[in-house]
Amino acid sequence: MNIVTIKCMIKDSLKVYKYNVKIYDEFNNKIIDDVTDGYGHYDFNVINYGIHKIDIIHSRLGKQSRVLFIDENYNDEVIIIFNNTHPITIRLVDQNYIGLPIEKGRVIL
Amino acid sequence: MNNQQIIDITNGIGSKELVNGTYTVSSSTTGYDNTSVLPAQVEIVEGTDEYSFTIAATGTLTLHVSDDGTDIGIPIEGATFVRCDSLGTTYGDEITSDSDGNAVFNSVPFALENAPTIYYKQTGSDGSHTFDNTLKTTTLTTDTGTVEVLNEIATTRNFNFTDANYSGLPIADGQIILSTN
Repeated sequence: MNIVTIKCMIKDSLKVYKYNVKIYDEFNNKIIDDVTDGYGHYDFNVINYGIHKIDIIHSRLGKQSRVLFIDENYNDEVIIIFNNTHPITIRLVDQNYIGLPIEKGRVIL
Repeated sequence: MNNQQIIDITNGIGSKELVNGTYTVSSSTTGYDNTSVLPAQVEIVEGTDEYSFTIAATGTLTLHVSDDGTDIGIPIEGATFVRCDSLGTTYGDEITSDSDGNAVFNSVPFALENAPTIYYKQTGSDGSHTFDNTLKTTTLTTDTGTVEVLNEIATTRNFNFTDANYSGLPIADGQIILSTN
């Protein structure tokens, strides 16, 4: 039985977080629904070899996925790196009345 | 997982934590043409924290100015108006009423429900009518609409024009010109 180590981190940041871990087998059955430790590490005990999909979810930074073929020789770590966010300000004004602020609106990126 | 980042705007400003990258821009803003939002794409980069967008509306608001504030009153030509925000700050060019008394704001928002408030104020009349220069509001529920504006006839004033050196001697023929500041 293999143990696959998953390590999650945020680029250019020393902060550590917990991440949600969901692992699916090749039939898309969810076989793991768990949480990493406080350092973003998770050891996955592989029961059946084959294709696995790993979803790692951070509450603020979103989701990253990896698809792996795990056999008895697989001994790599799975490293997941999230890009960090920074606060931005959005201004929305009228196109025909320069500078006139839109009182209530929504910008979707 | 939804890849959309939604930024709600209030009085022209919204904020969000975003990952650097290139985003396609769209909008859901009541009363405006959401396909008009510009730019259509934005790149969020390290070191730049403020991004500006514009959006257009397609409605037409007519201000009909008359001496009794009705659609059958005597029209007043030369009344001027300007769009404002909720604080009364002015934006865009002034509009002026024509010989039919109509001054037109193009590209204003409208919506059947929750129509945005349109702020404006009158900045002048034709010189012989009074006007209210306070901030006014209206909404459009269809793409065109008319607001009746009252500019009452000004009070008649009498002017005496006499010779400065011969007290009381009337000037037989002359003009006094008064200009607003």
